[in-house]
Amino acid sequence: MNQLLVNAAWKKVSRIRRIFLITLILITTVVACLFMSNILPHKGSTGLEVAMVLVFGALFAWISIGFWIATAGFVTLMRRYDRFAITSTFLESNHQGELSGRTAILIPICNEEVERVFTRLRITYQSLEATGRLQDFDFFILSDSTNPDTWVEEEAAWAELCQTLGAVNQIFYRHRRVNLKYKSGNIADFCRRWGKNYYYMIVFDADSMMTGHSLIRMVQVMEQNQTVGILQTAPLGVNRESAIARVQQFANHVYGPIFGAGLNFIQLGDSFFWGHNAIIRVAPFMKHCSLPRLSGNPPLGGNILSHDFVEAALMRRAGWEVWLAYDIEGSYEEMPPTLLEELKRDRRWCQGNIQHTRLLFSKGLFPAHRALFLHGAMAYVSALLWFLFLSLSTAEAIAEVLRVPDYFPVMRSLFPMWPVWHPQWALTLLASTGIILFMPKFLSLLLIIFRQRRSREFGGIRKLFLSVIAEIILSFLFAPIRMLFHSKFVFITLIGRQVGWASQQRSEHETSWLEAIRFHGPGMILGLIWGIVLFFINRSFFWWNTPIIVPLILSIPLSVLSSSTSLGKVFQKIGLFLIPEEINPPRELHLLQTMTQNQETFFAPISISTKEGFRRAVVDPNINALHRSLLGKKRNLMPSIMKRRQELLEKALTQGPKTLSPKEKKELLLDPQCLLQLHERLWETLDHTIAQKWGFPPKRTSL
Amino acid sequence: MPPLDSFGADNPTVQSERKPDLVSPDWQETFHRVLLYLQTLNVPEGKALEFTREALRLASSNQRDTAGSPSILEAMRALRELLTKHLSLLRKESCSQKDVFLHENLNGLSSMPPLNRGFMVPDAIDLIPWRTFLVRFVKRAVTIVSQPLNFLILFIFLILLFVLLTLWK
Repeated sequence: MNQLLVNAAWKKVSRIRRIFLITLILITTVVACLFMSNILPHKGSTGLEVAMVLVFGALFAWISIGFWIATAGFVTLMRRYDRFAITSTFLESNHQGELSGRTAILIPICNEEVERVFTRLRITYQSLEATGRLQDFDFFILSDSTNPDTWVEEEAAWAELCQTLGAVNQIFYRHRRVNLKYKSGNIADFCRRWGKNYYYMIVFDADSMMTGHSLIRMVQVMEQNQTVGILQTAPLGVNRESAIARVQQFANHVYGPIFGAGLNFIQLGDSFFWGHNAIIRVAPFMKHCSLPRLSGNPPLGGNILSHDFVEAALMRRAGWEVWLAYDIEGSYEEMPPTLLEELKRDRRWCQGNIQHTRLLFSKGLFPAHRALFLHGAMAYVSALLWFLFLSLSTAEAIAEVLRVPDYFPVMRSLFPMWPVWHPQWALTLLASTGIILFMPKFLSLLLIIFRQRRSREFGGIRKLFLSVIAEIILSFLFAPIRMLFHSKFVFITLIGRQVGWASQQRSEHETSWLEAIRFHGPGMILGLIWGIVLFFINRSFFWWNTPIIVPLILSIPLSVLSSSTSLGKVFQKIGLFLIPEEINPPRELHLLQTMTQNQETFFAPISISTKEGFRRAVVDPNINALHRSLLGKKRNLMPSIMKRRQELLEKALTQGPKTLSPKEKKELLLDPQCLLQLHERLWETLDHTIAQKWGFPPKRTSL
Repeated sequence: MPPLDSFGADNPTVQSERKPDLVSPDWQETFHRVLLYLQTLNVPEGKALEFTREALRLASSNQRDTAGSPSILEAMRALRELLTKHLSLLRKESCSQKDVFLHENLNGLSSMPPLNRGFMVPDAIDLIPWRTFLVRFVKRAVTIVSQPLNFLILFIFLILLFVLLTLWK
């Protein structure tokens, strides 16, 4: 009953809060636009200036959303009481109570680094085991891997994990032959096959990790709130060594909490689903969250790429609540190790978020979710708007120099009209924009130092303060580079070019100079040309734009240096960008650090790397039998397919594995008969050259 | 199941049968290949040697009609027969934590639970909402304007707007 009352209350409160937020955003934006129009040479009276003010208004409104949300979060955390925090309903006394049903932990993967994925899974399993509630959970590794070597490596890792943990029939592995609808299709495939066995499912990403206590807590919160369909946690970035990733994970730790609390303040039960580190009630998800295929061709049509936002909207449309449990600890993820990896991920997200605009006016969706669709699209469109604003202001600056001033624009005027520029107004506007952008960071700092008294967890007040200053400088430097790439992504999406769904490279690696030149070269040239033109035509405007031009020109070295793990280690050594998990690591993260050495192991006694899955599946009798077993029932094939596979088998036997393409390897791996034949004939071969090509030791002549 | 000792490794008859080929390179090669196979299965060294000798003995007896040492082909086939026969023993004796899988028998390890089929059909969702929104908007506007009183109000409003705009100029 109390729960129902709370539910009724949050809906009313959310309406008031949202109206309040919109009012604040509108007021700040209108004031900023008035300032902007006044500092322009013609007071916003020309077409160009009107366009500039409009674009500026949209951008200012965008940044003020973040400011007001952070302010709301700051107030909530300062009060140390959030009446509507979903976790406030959690009762410690019920911790050991019976659960309504079992929970499946889903780990969808696609060509990921197998060792890291399985190490995280092992730690999560052991952490859950330590809570004594392991019997309520099952683990599912849902693989969409297309790389034949990775596929076999996953199978071998799964079998080994089950045996070493004694987790037979508790950790499952499924490989899809066709990765229809990518991750969302993979989850839907699980739901169709085994969803009815489970009451809840917790979705992980390949780089996710959660502690056993956080998993139990999520289930308990769901148990106590029967109207909640999705409960999202706020994962913290950990475990990175590269400079840029360390900066990101530091920002995530310092600024994340106030944004999380602020988002919850505004959204309440109409919150996000970020696609991972979240718990979902399976039955309503299966009933309402199946994704349709959008009409037309990609990028704006076809399969929905950013499925999570749409699933949250559909869940809410069906009457189930979606909450952000921003204060559940023990939920982790990893940041992209380099700027280029981050941008590659952003390109995919950009397409997915812009695709959401197609659903903006779909019937039945809640206004909050329509706003989230718009917000998601604006995350990238704002970059294009910024680029447009810079282009317009450059055009205006050049026009002002080249155009002959008209001192008598009004007919029959006795006095000339001098173009007047108010630098103090421009500075006021600049300062207020700075406050809007940087105040959330300052508020976070205040909260950590004075209210939470957690500065020691970040290396002390001095180091925390210096880290925030350094983070501001670095984010200042990276902002124009990100803006240029995001503008390009939006533009590419709008002209109809789509992106694939390649898996991210999540392990630490550094950007090479060549790669950086290839990616950042055009941006650097653009920055150079822009800078030179402004320098010679309108020097005062050039100086105003140096914070944007200089990072663009330096984008290549910035990208390379920021990917450096040694620079990251230097930061760590001098105490910059420290996070609590580094100073006092939880047991799970400590284990992950020690276990993930990423050393390539070799399968003894034959020298085949564990990463060479295909060769192992052919040579190693264990892996061969395991793989054939996991392929399932024997299928009747068309004679043409059988003939083709037989030819491939002969090719493999006569020329060795290196002559086979990944597609050919995959075809052989799909056929249990072929694979058995290949295995047997290889072990029976007398040809030592071929045997060595497959990894057999050289011929021995004595015992 | 016969114990491994009964394979005949210590049987003098078998040894005498193999004696002439013991040092031949072909025999050694076959021996090494069979032993390597067993090592990949993590069979302990002692047992691996016993299996190897037995496989070679079986292979020799299979090709009794042909002279010389057993071929790799025959030996490997004989070994596979032996392994199938003694799989449970192998599993018990395996020297690592890893299980021994042969012939798609995963020793109770199941990659997936039994199927329990459910449905996931997309709820009705408007796939061209922009157009639907416009059509809905126009239809609603037409319904409102088609009522005489509303039409009159709109007409007066438009006239006033026109007058205002003219005066503004």
